[in-house]
Amino acid sequence: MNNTEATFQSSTSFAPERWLADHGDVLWRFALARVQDPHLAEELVQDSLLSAWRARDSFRGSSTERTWLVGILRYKIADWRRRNGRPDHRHTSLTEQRYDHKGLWQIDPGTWPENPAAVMQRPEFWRAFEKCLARLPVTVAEAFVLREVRQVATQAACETLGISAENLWVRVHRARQSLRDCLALDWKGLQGGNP
Amino acid sequence: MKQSSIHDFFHASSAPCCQHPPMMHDVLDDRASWGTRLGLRFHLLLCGPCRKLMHQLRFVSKAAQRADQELVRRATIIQNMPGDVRDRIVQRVRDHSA
Repeated sequence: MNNTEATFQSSTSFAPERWLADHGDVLWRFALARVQDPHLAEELVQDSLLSAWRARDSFRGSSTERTWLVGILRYKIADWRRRNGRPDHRHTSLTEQRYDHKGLWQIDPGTWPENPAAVMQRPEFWRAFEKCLARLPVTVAEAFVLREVRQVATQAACETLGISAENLWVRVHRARQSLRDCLALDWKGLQGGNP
Repeated sequence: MKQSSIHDFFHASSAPCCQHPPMMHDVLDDRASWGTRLGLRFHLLLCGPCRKLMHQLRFVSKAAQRADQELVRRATIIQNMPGDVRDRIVQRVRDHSA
């Protein structure tokens, strides 16, 4: 047992040090998987622990401590994206270039592997998928994750995001198209997935 | 209702390719009328690039449905928080929360 661990064990309940000992690895992985930058992940975990410490009286035990901390971290990541994230116009312009003035294809979308299941066995695919998901504007990503990834019902997703169903679908469509464009550009395993 | 689906069919089967992606998304989300569904299918029979795009969007949808499970699984196999990061966070949290 190192010094740090000894300190954690002597900490009182709710101490940020204990949270870090009990949930630090989970928080770290969660942040790193979403921002892909160890320095930023470190900063976000630290901010989350401090925020949790300041708001410790609001924790009523209706969720587990880990869920509560991950929720705070999730908010910190969304907030960071909101402050720093810019929509990626690169993909929009690619979409526009794809068709000629008559609306017919001028750049072939390329051929992706026929068997998605085989591609999804490959860790590189998920690395690329995660990276592309992280590049989406936060409002678009939230809608996509709720509806497509978590399979939340449309009405519940609209209530969570405070938007209309039509708006939700616009965001989901935009996210799906952007992910397609991003994967085609960034993951060589999908070659010839030309943009 | 019927008439509008017939209209959807003709629209989906005869519209230029640039108008098809929104229909593809609607089909994937199960929001398209039977007319759009049938018209798009007809168009895809004839148009290779649109067929490829539809395959790619379906691919992304399938990936999304597996993403939650995969990303959580990946998160459990990537490295734990390094010791130096842990020490720095402990130190800063102590400084700020004192």
